[in-house]
Amino acid sequence: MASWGNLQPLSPEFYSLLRHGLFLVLFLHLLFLGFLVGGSTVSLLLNFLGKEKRDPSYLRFSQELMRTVLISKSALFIFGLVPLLLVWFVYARVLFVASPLPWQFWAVILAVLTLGFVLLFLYRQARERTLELFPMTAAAGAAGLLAVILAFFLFSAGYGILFNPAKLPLLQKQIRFFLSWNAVVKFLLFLAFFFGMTGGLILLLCGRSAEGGEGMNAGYRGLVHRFGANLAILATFVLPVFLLLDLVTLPEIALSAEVFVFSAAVLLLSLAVCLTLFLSDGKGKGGPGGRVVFLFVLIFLAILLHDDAAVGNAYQDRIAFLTMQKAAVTAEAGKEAHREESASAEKTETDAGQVVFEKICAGCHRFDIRVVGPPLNERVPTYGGDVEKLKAFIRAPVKVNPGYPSMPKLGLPEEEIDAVARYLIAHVKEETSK
Amino acid sequence: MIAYFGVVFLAMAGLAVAWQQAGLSPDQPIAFPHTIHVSKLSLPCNFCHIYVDISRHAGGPPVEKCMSCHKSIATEREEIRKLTRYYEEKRPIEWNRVYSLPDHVYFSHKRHVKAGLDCSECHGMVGAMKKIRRVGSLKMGWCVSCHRARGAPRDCATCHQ
Repeated sequence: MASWGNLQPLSPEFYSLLRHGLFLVLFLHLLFLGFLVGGSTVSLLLNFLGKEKRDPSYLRFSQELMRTVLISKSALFIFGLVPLLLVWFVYARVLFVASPLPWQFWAVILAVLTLGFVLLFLYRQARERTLELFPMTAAAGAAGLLAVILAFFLFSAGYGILFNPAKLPLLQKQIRFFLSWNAVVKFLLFLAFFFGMTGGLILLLCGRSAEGGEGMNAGYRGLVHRFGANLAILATFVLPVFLLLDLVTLPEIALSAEVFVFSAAVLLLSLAVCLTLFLSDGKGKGGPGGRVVFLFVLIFLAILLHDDAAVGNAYQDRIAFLTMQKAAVTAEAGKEAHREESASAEKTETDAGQVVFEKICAGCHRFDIRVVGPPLNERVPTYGGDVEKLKAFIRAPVKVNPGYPSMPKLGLPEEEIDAVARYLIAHVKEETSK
Repeated sequence: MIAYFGVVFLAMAGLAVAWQQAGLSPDQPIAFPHTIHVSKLSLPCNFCHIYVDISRHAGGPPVEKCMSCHKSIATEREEIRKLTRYYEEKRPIEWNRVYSLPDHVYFSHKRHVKAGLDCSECHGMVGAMKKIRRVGSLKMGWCVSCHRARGAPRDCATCHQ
């Protein structure tokens, strides 16, 4: 199995670039996918409503909707599939310790999503040819829609892991830990948003290309408007509930004042959508479509900012760790360069010992003076050059002089103990013979 | 409609207050930086938490232990002055608990250490925290999912004795 584990740690800047990049890609991808899912669902639904009510406007609306949703194959590829590959890459890097989800997981999502797109495209083309609805056409559409929704559900489950770093070690043991309540809530939250967005877009884009007499045109437009408005209002009523559930199910470490503020923003914007739709009822020629879509884009932005902040909180320590690690690496590189300049002739074994000394021992010991522990030029000669005896002490220190704090057991690997003991004896001999 | 959104807003505010009250990262009497002691000096956790592998409780260091180094290190800093005052007045430092379990839960650090768990699995990257914050929920589900993943016992009496 391919593994993304053991990747090089990232610089904090690159890390935040990836994180914010992830949310930018999601912004484009999910807006596109949202309209696709919402529009296809409504189109399929309209078929059945049209059949029941024997009203051709429903079927025409269904046809027009699919034409709007699936503009072209290249749009499907660029906004539907490419972002997913990018997300895959970003995801693996963000969780740099080891990507908890094997590549097969992402491959399945990609395959299911592609299948869904193909089926929906077939449905659209069949819809284009005739207003009549054949069972096969409807089945292809429904199967395509289900495939896209399934792929999105799997995607949400993977997305949910981003908010809960505590899950990573568990996931490495058993893959079934990838599902969480938070992921399910996020899936439903996004779905609710998808339908609201679709409602707005229906108000904005549809109902213009109707053919036929004036009276029929007005009826058709009324139908489209009613549908779009109802969808948008329904979504804005459902959204806040899932938002609350999201706050309940998010791990506590992912929460912060920012997360709550963005949640409140989503709530206020939802209220604004409702008010826009209620107040504009019947008034104005242009209709509320533009404003509603704009508000929904803002809602989505707030949702993603909320998620971005939550991921930042959850990974706060990891980011701090990366920053510290980078500082340490820079300092180490500086020391390394200095060391290379000063002593290039020294034996490699002593070099290794010196590295251990500077990394571990130098916190408390110097050769010439007392720091936390005693000066080594005094202590090391008492071993009389016996490396094994010195190694035994480093392995398990005991208190010798009550005037000093006891030395901690350092738990170094055996080769480091050996290297540092040899280095100390050689170095002290050199120092004292000066 | 307004009422509906109002209710949701109130519920959200309630959650915010509850989160605030949960106190994931309480202030401490001395701003002890784990960053320096764990990451920079590479002190092992049990250097200070001396009971972690021999008792239920991990324990903190006695003030003497801090002073054994801080008699001579960074004595001019405000936080170390505070520490010295505690030492001279022979008062214990009353640290605020970050991780605490209810009384009906039996938890032993010793067992978890002996089972080979790394401290960071429950306590996160302590070495990167200037101020300690609780990273796990400490709810039963949190314990159980780890027990399940590692095949540790899940009998009720394991934790509720």
